[in-house]
Amino acid sequence: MARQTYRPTMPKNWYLKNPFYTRYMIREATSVFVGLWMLNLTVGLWRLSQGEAAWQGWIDLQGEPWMILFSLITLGMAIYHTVTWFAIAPRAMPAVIAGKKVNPDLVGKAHWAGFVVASIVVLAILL
Amino acid sequence: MSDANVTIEIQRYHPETCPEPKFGRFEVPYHKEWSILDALQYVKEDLDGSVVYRWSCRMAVCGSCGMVINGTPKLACETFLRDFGPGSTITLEPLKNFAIERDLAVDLEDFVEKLERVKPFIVDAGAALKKPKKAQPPTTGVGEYRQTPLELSVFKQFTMCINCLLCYSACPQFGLNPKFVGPAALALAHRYNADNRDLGEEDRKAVLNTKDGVWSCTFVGYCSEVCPKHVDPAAAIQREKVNGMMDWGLSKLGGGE
Ligand code: SF4
Ligand code: FES
Repeated sequence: MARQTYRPTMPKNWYLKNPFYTRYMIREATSVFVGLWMLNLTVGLWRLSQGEAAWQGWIDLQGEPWMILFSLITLGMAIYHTVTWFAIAPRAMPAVIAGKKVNPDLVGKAHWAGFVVASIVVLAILL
Repeated sequence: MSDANVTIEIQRYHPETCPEPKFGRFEVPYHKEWSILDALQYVKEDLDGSVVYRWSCRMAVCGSCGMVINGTPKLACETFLRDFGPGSTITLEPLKNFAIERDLAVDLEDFVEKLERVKPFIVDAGAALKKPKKAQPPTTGVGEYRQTPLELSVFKQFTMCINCLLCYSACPQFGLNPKFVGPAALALAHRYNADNRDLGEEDRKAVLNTKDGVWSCTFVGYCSEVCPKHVDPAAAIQREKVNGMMDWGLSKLGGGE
């Protein structure tokens, strides 16, 4: 006779049952906001291709209070994603590269250095 | 002396007598040097002999006593009454995401089958089913086989696993997809893949580089958080993802096989 076991089901709101899961889910959810904002940016580029009036319309839209709020939320989400991702990404690195042991701390710092350099380049282009 | 006790709530399940899990409460004297396992021994000896749980070494090496203690997967022999204090209530549940056999004992068969599938042993050229990419290293027949400290350091932490399955209890992806090979088995697969004496990497790909292999993992990372041996199975899985991706990339470039 087959053994009789009990198989518990996972609650639908499992990610609220543990703060660790909740933080993970927020990290996943950030992509929704970043994705929507990229969509907004793509629309902007498309409007730019349609001439000055269309572009100005898009620029004005960015100044709307709800749009500023949305951009601020997205910025917060992007920062959250960056911080949490940079904290765990070094662990995904191979242990040895080109015969040298990889130091995860250094990899984390390299991520941040790359972030700073990229930000400076972008700001330099903009300003 | 009411504060000299702790209340232990144990999730009970017996197919014959208690077919729906429910909690049983037991009053256990508080001793600061008692582990949860000691408290369970007290319950079984003095209060209710029908309580079922697994244990063996009572020193965090055999991996038998994993359970969910106040919501967190832990080893019962490594968690102490003093961590909660006199007068506290401590709930004990079986590991999550597994079928329950009785009380705190879960069905391990599925895990053992997964463990076997990843070939957790050194595969040499003769035993490898698929042609290995690496050259055959010298075998013991040739004499002593030396491994440098650097070569050892690549996989050493992944050898520390005691198969306690706390990581499976911590993994929501395993809970959602029971076919997922899971943290410990994948970490052990990585341990052998990363060992320079092993030639089984091509064979293990059939298990690792699939939807239910490393690609079921979304790097939640809680497995590594609860691991009592600091194995960091999440890191092992990400490294295998990198290997799988490189392999795929090379095959697109015509460089791989
Ligand atoms: S990886 Fe850690 S948590 Fe998972 S079975 Fe091994 S020792 Fe236990
Ligand atoms: S009894 Fe062996 S690990 Fe706890």
